[in-house]
Amino acid sequence: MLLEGLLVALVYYVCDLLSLAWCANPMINRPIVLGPLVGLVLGNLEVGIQVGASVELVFLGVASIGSTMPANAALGGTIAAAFVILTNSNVEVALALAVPIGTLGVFTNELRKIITASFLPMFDKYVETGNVKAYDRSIIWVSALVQSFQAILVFLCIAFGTEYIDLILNTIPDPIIDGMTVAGGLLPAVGLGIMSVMLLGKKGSFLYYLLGFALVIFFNISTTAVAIIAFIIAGVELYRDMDLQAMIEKNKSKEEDFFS
Amino acid sequence: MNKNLVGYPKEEVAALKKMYWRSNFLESCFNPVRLQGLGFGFAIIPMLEYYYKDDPEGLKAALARHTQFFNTCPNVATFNLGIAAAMEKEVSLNKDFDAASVNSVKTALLGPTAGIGDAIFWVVLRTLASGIGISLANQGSILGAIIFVLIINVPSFIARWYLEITSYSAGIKLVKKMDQGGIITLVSKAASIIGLIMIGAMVASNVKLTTPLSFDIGGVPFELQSAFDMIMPGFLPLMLSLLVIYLLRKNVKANWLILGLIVIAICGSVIGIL
Repeated sequence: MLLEGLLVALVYYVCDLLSLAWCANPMINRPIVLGPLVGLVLGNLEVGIQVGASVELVFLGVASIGSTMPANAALGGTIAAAFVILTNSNVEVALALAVPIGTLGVFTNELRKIITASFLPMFDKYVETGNVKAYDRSIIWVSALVQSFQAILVFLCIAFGTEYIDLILNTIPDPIIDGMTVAGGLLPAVGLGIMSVMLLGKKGSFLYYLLGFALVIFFNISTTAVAIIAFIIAGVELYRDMDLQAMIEKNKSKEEDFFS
Repeated sequence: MNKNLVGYPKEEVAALKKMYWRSNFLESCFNPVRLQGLGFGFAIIPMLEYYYKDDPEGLKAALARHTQFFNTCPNVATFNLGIAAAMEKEVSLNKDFDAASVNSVKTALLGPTAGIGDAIFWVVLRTLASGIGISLANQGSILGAIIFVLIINVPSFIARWYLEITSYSAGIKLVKKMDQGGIITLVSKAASIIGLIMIGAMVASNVKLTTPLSFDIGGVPFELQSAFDMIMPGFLPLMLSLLVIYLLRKNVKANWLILGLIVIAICGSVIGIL
């Protein structure tokens, strides 16, 4: 199974890297695409197409909008398709496999993002020294590196069976896994905090921050709705400021007339 | 060639084309702290190098501006890149132009482009593509996968190029007009209002913190989280975000905060308070 594992992992790696990093989300890491590709490298295109379609149907409702990703359809779809083809089982087995692996994949995705965050000091150093070449290079190799961890997981799954994955997972204590998920929820506070510090100007501007927060918390409206309200408020402020400026200039010219 | 690009120097057009190709890498190095921030910096580098050819200090400052928090729908992000680049051009030419307004406008546009882009690409096109693709694949045809990919990517690749040049040329004209009208500082103040409201909204939807802690008071179970929810839903995420802003203002390095939060998250889970 080593060769098969390697081939499937490679397919997964290329599709995931292109979709999640290098090619503006072309969605080629969806089960409907991965199924046939896995079928192709394992020599059974027909079953691959079939499994891909069934698994896609399961994950169809699971949209990945914004930064929340409730299930990792790519990981679930790849491993499910490979198992059905390699073990000659029926499509139902694929669905039974795809869903739990898709859920596990949410954790591995979070882990990938947190590992990426540990490279931030390096990127900041390149920005501070203006080393554009090193920055460019690092974007490429860091994204290629962090995306490879899940491909290795796919390889282990196919080459040694899913029991092996259970074994590894059981050696990681649950609180650590939970802790990673918790950390994924806490860390956006830092990125948003840096932006807030940049934008918070005069006293009172903090109230706008609270307004945005309250709109979402109490009314649970979408970011587009918040944006429309924000545009209206900013527009009202802008016109008032323009009137004020015009008035100040008018007064100035009057004073000048008075003294001259 | 597009009529919007007539009249721009050759180097500028080349940089715009490079930015288009690099915009593919927007989600590279996606991380929970800055989301697409690093990828945004990567995409805009050709423009910054063009504007700040002879100004290494300006380049550093601009790059620092554009590697911060950013998140939108990658299929329409070239719109944001075009506007940001247009404003950055003004920063490089006009010393009186407030560089902070670039970030205000960038943040102000995050929500709308994300909302519209996700609605078009994730909801409309993906549902359409899956519907057609799955029905073809169920008949055993490889066309299912091919059509799925084409329905999403042909609009995406075309839209991203036109969004970029349209927003860039419109942005340049708009910034020039406002500058002549002397209202650019007022507009940048208005933009920072939108930016702050959007950041507040993103704190509410992105920062997550709850506690499973519960006490037994005289036989009555008391859940701490429900007490926080009674004060205000989202109380803990807001307090955390305010604490982070306070610490950043006290010049605590962001990297230490990141490390600290990861440690707190793991330790908190181990002892069962998070």
